[in-house]
Amino acid sequence: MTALIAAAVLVVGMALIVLACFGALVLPDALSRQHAATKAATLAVTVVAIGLGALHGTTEVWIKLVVLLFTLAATMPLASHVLARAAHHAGDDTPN
Amino acid sequence: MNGTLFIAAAGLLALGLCLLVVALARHRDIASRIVVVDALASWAIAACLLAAAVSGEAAFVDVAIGFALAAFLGTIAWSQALATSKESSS
Repeated sequence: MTALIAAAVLVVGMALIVLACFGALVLPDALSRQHAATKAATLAVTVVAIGLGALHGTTEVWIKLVVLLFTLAATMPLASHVLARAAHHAGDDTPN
Repeated sequence: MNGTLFIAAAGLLALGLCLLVVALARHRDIASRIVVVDALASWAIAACLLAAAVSGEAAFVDVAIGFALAAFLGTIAWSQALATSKESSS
């Protein structure tokens, strides 16, 4: 039963990934596309990681997943900020 | 039952990749393309985690960590390239 719930959480995470990709496709300008591509994708990877941890709940997997999520939480906002600033300076932040 | 859910997850992942490829082809400005490549990195991390879930190999999570770090450096490098190229051209 736990494995079933964990696999369902994995599917929910993948659905969030699809939403992030859809946002990167249809939103009107680079900055709003970035909202979809960074925030939604971070949430999606977090949900997938929780599903994976619940599925293979060994200590080794959980430690690696915590390291992965910490890496994402530390790097995603930085990369997003640098990219948004570059897009703003380059004038690419208007709808096209 | 788990197998069905794994196939559904893989199908959703494939759909996401299709959407990203279309986005990469459709967007004309460089910043949007960097955003799509960033989203592609997140997609690849999720793919690594799905591979770990299906195979039961914890080593795939290490690959995902490496991917996250490489994607971070890549995004920073492309953003700097975008900023400096526009500065030098204007």
